[in-house]
Amino acid sequence: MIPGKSVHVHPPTSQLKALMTIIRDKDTNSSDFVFYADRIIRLVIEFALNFLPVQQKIVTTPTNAQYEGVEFHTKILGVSIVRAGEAMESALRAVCRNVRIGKILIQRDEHSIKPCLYYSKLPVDTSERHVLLMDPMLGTGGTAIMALQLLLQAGVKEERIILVNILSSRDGIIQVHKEFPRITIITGEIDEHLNDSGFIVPGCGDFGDRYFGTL
Amino acid sequence: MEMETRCDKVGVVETTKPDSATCQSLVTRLAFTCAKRLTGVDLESSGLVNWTEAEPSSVGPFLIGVAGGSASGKTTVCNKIMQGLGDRRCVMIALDWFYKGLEDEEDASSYNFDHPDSLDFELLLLCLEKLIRGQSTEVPCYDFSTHKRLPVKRLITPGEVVIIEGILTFYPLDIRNMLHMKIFVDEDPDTCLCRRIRRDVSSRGRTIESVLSQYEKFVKPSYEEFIAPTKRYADIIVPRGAENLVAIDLVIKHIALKLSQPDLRRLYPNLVIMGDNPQIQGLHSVFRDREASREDFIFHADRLIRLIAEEGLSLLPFQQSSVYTPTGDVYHGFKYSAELASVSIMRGGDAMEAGLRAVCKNICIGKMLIAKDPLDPSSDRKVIYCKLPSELSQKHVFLLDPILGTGKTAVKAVEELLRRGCIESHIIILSLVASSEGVRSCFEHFPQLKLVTSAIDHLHVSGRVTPGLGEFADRYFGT
Repeated sequence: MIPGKSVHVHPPTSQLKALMTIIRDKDTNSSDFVFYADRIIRLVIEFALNFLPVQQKIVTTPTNAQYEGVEFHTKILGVSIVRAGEAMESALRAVCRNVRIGKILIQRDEHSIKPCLYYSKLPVDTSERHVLLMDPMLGTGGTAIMALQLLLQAGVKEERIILVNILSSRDGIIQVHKEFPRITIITGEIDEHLNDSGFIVPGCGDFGDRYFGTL
Repeated sequence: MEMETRCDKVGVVETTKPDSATCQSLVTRLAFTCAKRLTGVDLESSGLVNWTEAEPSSVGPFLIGVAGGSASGKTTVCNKIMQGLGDRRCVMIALDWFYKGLEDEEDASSYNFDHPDSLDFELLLLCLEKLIRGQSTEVPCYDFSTHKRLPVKRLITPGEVVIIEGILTFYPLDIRNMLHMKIFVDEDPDTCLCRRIRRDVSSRGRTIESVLSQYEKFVKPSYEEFIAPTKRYADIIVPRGAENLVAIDLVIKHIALKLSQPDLRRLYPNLVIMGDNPQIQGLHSVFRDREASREDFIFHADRLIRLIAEEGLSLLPFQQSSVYTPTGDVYHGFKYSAELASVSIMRGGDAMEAGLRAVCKNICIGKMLIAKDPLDPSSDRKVIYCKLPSELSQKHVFLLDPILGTGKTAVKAVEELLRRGCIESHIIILSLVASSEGVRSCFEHFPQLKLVTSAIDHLHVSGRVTPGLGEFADRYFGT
């Protein structure tokens, strides 16, 4: 079991599983990978938005009847972890027009294999916003933890952060949750293991390389 | 490579969708219990959301028919089901109460009580119709020793579950069609006869000789002629009658599941309502608003249509498929195993095409225009224009109709698709908002088809969907 109650996996429909099957297949070509990855990202982003606060809103329909609905009333910010996280930006933009998007570049130091912050750019009012931190794959969790530390330093409230993955490793979730128990984690599927090189198994390979065609 | 339109029928394993694992409920209200189910988290206690209580349902009772031979254990099965349902309001109606009874000069020993003509099905139908409307009803009382209706009547109050029990419950078509679940109790004929002798002799004041002669003369021939053939209408056949605890337990679990669904899905298993999360509620709150700009309307409607299309795709058959990932490991997944086409009902359906194309590259899209004859406005709607993809009989078809109002247009469109060779169970109607009346109409005409919608509204007497969102196509196309 994954600790904590704020980890949410997208409902495991056959549909999602069929999409996952395509992007996980090593023989899937680049254009199919992008098309189907985009569809999964869109589903996961729409799912993640469910976890933003809403308030009740009553609107009048053209038939002059009242519809009791809700509205999202908070300011949000998308933050992508460069490079793979950038693949999720267009889906976020497609559902939240004019959303602000910050970037964080974290790379592994080749000697120590530890993640290292290279660059970050966040809007000035970051601390007032709900943040969707986007990274398609959650492996060891090292990168995500560093990004989360950065967000907290920028003044974001921990419980206002939603980490959005399309594929997470169990270990990664446990690690991230140990450090930041109050964030919400949204993912498409959870894989059991990491291999020795830190890849999710069975996973889908290097997401960034496959999405951006730099294999 | 085009996934959605690829045909691969070899070794198809139909995998049913795991019911979105999310469960869903009425979209017109925010029920925080739903979000809890959907999300696995108690959003209410987190203080993030103000939820209001869900409204009680208005879908009517769940009707169960129990049939089977005389003394096969029907009543015991019914009693066990009622016990299993615990505190649910359960009403049981015995077909025996509706015996017409004998005239004064008639001889009971030469009267066939196992013949359909001996029962007053018309009265039963009236009683059931009242219960379905949530009204109390009076049922007759029958005296088995005098074979006459007693002058008194009994009042039955409506319940969440109504069980109709009797040998010929499935015999009349109109009653059979009303039942949401049909159980046939199948017991060894010897056992039935033994029970019948014991029962009739001890509690109905008969002699063994008269019971046996009635059995040979009427009970057995009638069972073979009228009762046994109705077994084929049953959803479940329970062998060994009331001893079959596993079967009874399964039935109870199914009914409990149905009762936990507060809306039309209780009655129509092929109905998918996907609108019980804040996200979809939020989309509805934008485009239902009459003040929404056209740009906002299109943007939010498109987002919702895309989600509905994804939901529709998940109703297609899948087959198992294992692939190697770049790490060299195996992933056991699924792949689509159906060929898909789409048909939009003009004009509203056209507006859904963009959202559909976003998830299905190269899908064939047919068109249908259904309207009343402009020269004769009193006539029924008919198909005025129709251009469909080829080989529909081989394909699953998405029928796009954003607002399902009375359902007449959709029914007409489905009729046309069937006429062109479509298979009923392969038709999936995708709509944004459906009226409960429209849903009922579609499923009453075509119980096999599937219907995906993101909200259930009601039909106003004027024929408009309320609260609705106005004329969808006008708002979308800006006319």
